[in-house]
Formats: sequence, structure tokens, C-alpha cells
Amino acid sequence: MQREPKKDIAERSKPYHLHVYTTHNNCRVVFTYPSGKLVKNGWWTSGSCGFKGANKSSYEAGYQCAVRAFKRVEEEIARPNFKDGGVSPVTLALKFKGFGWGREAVQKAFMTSEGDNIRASVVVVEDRTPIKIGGTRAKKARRL
Amino acid sequence: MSWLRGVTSAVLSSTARGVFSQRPKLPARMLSNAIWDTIDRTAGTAQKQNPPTPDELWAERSRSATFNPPADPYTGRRVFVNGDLSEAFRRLQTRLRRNRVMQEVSRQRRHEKKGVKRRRLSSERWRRMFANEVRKKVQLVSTIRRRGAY
Repeated sequence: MQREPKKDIAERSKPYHLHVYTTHNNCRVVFTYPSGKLVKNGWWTSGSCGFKGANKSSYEAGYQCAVRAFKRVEEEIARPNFKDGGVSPVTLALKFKGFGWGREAVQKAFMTSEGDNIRASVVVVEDRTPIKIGGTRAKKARRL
Repeated sequence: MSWLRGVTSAVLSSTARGVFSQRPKLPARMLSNAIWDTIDRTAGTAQKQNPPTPDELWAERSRSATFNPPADPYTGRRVFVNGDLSEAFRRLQTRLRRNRVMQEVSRQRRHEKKGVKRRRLSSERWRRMFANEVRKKVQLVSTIRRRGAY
């Protein structure tokens, strides 16, 4: 039995992705279009924010990455780039990977005044930390 | 609806739903929203002149049903935001904590030899059994205290 498409259910717009990849050594924030294509000037790492060495894994580095990302997202909201695959009501999907210090820094940054214009556009929060089921053998345990 | 009246569960549904006055004593989450809506709409209609036939009910439900997209490996760790972003963060954290994702990730970072793994599992099992027994004893003591020890 073929069902006619529902007319009362609105088409949900595809969200842009904000990938937040944090490790114990670094933090990386990437802003992409719904298709997955990287937005122009849409990536920030601790190193690109001016931190070096051990500071790259700090809370402050994650916060700086987040702040710069928010500014770029606001630009995209103001002027969506339809040519490269942007959509007009800009919604965000947050994707966290890894449990470094930067992860909490990005979350806190959303709740501060820096993220005032962005907070309403987030529609889905996800955790994408890779989890092995069996899988390859890791390096041997460190003996300290 | 006699089968509903026969249900005597101790848990009363805390969320008042619809106009069905004889609220069956089931937890609200046991039945889906669609089923509660059907109950609200059709309860007490057996006495009506034209109760909706099963075919009509089926067609109605089929028309208004929405299906989730197919699951991917991250569906379980995906939280949709209901207006409040901090609440969504908290929900995600709770889900991760309840499934011990962080411990799993940190354990997978380095290989755990078979003896180490065996010892860890045995220790975890013992601690789980012990905590269970203590919990049962404490519950027993509190019930005895509540009903009066003598």
C-alpha cells in the first residue's frame, strides 16, 4: 500500500556540524557544512590559537578554540554560503570526540556570553568517541 | 476496558493524561504516547453508537505515525536538544556515565594482559556482590525499623 507523503510534517533542515576533538595533548574544533565539507576558515586547533607544548591540552586552549569557532558560526548565520552547501536556518549539531580538558571548556563556552547567539541553534549533541569492540591490540601498558 | 481495571500495580502514573477518569494504575512510560492517545480517544466508546472500527483506528495511527531514521553506531549517544542546551549536556553526560564510556575508553587505550584483566574482573564481581548484599541488608533493616522492631 503506497502512502502519500505527509504534508503536515515540516521538512527538518539539515544541521551544520561542529566537531570537537579533544585528546590529552591537544584540542581541535572543526566547522563543516551539512554535507561534511569544511567551511572556509572553519578549523581551529590549540596550536593555531597560539598555545604551545603542554599548554595545548589546557582548558584555556579549548576555550579559545570554541570562542573563535563561535565567531565563524555567527558569520555563517548572518550570511549562509549557499554555494558550498549551506542552508538558511543554520542549525548546529555538536559532535564530541575524546575526553580531554577541551571538551568541558567548549561546553562551558556555550553557556557563557560568548555563545549567546549560537546556543539556540544547537539541535543535537552527540558523542562520537571511538569505542572498540574487540579490535586491534593497543600498545602495552606503561610501567611508571 | 475491564482488563485495565483489573491491573493493580502499586505504581500510580504521576502524569495526568487526557480525560480518561478511571486512570489505570500503570507507569506512564510503560505504554507509548500513541497508545495513550488511542486510549484517551477511544476509552468508553464501547457504549457509543459508532465506535471506531479496528481498521479505522489502524488507518488513523498509520497516517499520523512518524518513524525515527535507521540507527547508526552513535544513536545511543545522541541527545536532541529541547530548548535547554545545558540540560542536553547533562543528559548526555548521564548517559555516558551510566554506560561507563569513559572508563571503557581509558581501558582500551593500553592493552590489558590476560592476568590483569582476570584480576580486575574478579575484583569487580566481588565488589558488586558485596555491595548488593549490603544493600539488601540495609533495606531489610529499614523495613524492620519502619514497621516497628518489637
